[in-house]
Amino acid sequence: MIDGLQALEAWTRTAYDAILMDCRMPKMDGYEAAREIRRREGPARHIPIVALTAHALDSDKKKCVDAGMDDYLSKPVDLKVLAETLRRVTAHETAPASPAPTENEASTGNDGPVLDPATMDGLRAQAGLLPELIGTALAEMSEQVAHLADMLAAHNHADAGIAAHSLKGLARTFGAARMAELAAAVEKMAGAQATDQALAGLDQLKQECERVSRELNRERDALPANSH
Amino acid sequence: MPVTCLVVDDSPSARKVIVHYLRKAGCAVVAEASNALEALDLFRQHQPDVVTLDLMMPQHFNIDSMGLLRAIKRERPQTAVIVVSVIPFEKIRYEYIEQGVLAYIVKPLTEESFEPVRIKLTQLHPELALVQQR
Repeated sequence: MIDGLQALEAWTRTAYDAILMDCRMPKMDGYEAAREIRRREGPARHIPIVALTAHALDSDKKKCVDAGMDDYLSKPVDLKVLAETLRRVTAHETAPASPAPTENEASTGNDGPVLDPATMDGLRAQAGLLPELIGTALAEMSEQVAHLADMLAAHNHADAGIAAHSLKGLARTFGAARMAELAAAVEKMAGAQATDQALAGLDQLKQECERVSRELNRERDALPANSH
Repeated sequence: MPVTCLVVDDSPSARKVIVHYLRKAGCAVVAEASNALEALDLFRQHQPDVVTLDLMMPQHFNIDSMGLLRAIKRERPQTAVIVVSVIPFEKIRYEYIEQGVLAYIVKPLTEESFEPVRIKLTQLHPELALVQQR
């Protein structure tokens, strides 16, 4: 499309997955076109729009966000950055909570691996990272679990939420999906000040943390001797 | 002159991973902080080129991550700030992008998710290309 009006027309005819929007165009500029698309699609729909700007000044970025665009890229556009940006904005479109796993407490999820093999392969590929990281993570996990229990016992929901949030982040690092899910559930209950539910969630979380610890210890034992 | 970084995250494990990728990208990590207040002190002391910022940390004396970001942008607007957070929500991402962060990465930080940041940092500091481990 060569201008904003044409972009708008094309959008009304075709269900695109995303729009790359140049900001400076004749007739109707990118900001105006984005605003018009957001106005017409209403709150129920949200096509990802990525702005292309000549210079990424803070004022330009603000204009893009104010116009309802999801992200912006400055020219010249790097292909890797473009691919990553599109992946991110379209992922949010199809699954609003992604990339977070389902935070539904009811799912059992015990069948999957404790640690995601692809995530672990990614970590193993980073020379020198895993040997130190595992030790730090094991210590941090037991500290945070103890801290979380203390904070819940003291009805300090804010700090309990932060501890659960940290455990969620720690779980993600190793692709520990079930642990991340349980930590997210506790975080949510702490946020809702539901102490009893959070304590019940904490019991499940503790059990899963033990499984994760065992796997991490096994991983450390299997590391080449010279990397210890 | 190395490209200097301050890493701000309450999780020691997260800091290890962030430090790993920053060093691989050729940056020098000059300090690490586990809360926003400590980070502001270290920021003023070291004046780093790059700051990585976690969003949810135990709070001390009423300064949170957004407060820290605003202070950084006010005192040294040229600082490249990279948010590294578990929080995936667009609304929060907008708020930080509006404040001029260079990038917003949703954890886990991996080779893949760090790559766009490595590219952006190398565009800002072309000398990094000379010292990057590929």
